[in-house]
Amino acid sequence: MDRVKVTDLNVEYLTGGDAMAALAGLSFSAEPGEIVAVIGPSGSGKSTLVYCLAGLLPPTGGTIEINGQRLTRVRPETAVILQDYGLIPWKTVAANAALGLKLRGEPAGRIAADTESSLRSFGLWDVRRHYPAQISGGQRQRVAIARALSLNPSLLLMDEPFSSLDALTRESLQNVFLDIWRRDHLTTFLVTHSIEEAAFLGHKIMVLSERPARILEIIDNPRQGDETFRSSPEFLQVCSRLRQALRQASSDVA
Amino acid sequence: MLRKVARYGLAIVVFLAVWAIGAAVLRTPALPDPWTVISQPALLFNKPMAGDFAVSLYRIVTAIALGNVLALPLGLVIGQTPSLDRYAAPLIFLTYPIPKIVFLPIFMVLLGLGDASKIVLIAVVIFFQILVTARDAARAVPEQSIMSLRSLGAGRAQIYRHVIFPASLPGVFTALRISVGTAIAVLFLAESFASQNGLGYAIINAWSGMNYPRMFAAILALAVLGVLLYEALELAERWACPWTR
Ligand SMILES: Nc1ncnc2c1ncn2[C@@H]1O[C@H](COP(=O)(O)OP(=O)(O)OP(=O)(O)O)[C@@H](O)[C@H]1O
Ligand SMILES: [Mg+2]
Repeated sequence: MDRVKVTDLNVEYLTGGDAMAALAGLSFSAEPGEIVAVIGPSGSGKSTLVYCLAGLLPPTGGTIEINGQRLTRVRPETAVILQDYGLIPWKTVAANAALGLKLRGEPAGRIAADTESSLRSFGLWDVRRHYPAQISGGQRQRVAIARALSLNPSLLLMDEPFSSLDALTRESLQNVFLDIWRRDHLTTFLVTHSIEEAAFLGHKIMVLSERPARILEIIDNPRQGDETFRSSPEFLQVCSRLRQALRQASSDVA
Repeated sequence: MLRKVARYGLAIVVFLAVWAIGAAVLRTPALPDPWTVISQPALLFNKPMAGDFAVSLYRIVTAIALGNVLALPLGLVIGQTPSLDRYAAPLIFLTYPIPKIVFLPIFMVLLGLGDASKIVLIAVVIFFQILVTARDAARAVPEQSIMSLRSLGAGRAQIYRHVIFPASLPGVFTALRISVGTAIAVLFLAESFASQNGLGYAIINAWSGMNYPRMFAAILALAVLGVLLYEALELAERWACPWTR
């Protein structure tokens, strides 16, 4: 499970010749097996951070080290679930789930066997021949998770994975994720809009400011993942602290 | 399938009715009534007509294939490569609107009066349609889809194969359906002068001999050619784009 260390990360986008800062000097780290929840206002730069951690976007400045190695490109041990899932519309559920293995040139027999067991365990076997447009949002998200986990990652990056789901589906998928995490102890970055989700899942909760994103606060949250925590007064305390930090994030600009 | 046959049956009835009314109103030998044409199967089903049909079909299918094979990869790469697109786009916009039929004399000089000049002319028409469509489709591919594939370790070729090419297919089929009409019109023109075979030749030949029933038999054959092409495209699209159903 990976150790992630980010130092003074800066990203600027070029739009029509003008440089526009999206990330302004982020420094933080994640211990092996830690879940880091990232929360911040819309457009602050959360997805940008995910792209950087995935090695998909070279930063303008600063460094990302994973297990002491400087990150310069996509690495096979990192799995990414992008905002809006990144499923491919013209591939069936089964083909989407198998895509990572296929791109790696694994033997067809192994791909078929692995994919079958993963589709079964995610309750997707019956819809394996459907296209993404023909299944529910919750099912789509499970396909994305199945695909991400098919490559046995040691670092998992998820960009608002549960945000477009109804409350019950969301809770059930949060538990699916927690079960996987308890089994594999993946180091995880989870971007979310939801204060409750951050407070329930994150060992650490990183609050970002409005664009360009700076770190406003990193809150430790040792009781994460515990069902009884969800209904405890401490949970409400963490939530209200996050709410305050986020309010500060918006009023900074105003 | 049965329903489709029934719908075609209805279309044929309407077509023949309009034709019959037109013939009855105009009362000219230049528009024989449909019965004179279809009551003599020998007019439509004869060896020369079959030969002309086969030649025209060969020319148009080869041209469509050639146009696509050249235009699709080129259009996709241009659309995906902004640095290339900056230079290619003005060139495309400059040449796209030129009616390609004006190149027929040049092609005839360069390639002779046989199949090659006609095939190349139609291929050029198809080429531009597909080039423009493929470029637009490649530009419209969401960055997310490409990022998602890259995050799984895909290389450039794999991104084209799994994302950019399939993303362009529905648009390409629409463009093909639109350009089949143009392609048949161009085929007709190309076959109508300095040509010894093909349905265009058959039509013009019957016309100049004032054999109007034969001329309309050849026109019917051309219509059948169009229907065949559209239906073939429909089948190909169903097979190639199952997710759009
Ligand atoms: N490719 C790009 N080119 C230029 N600007 C971009 C690009 N991608 C993002 N931006 C800008 O950078 C800022 C941060 O974007 P980002 O997508 O990282 O935000 P986010 O926090 O993920 O937002 P959301 O919560 O809405 O998903 C935004 O202002 C966005 O408009
Ligand atoms: Mg985002």
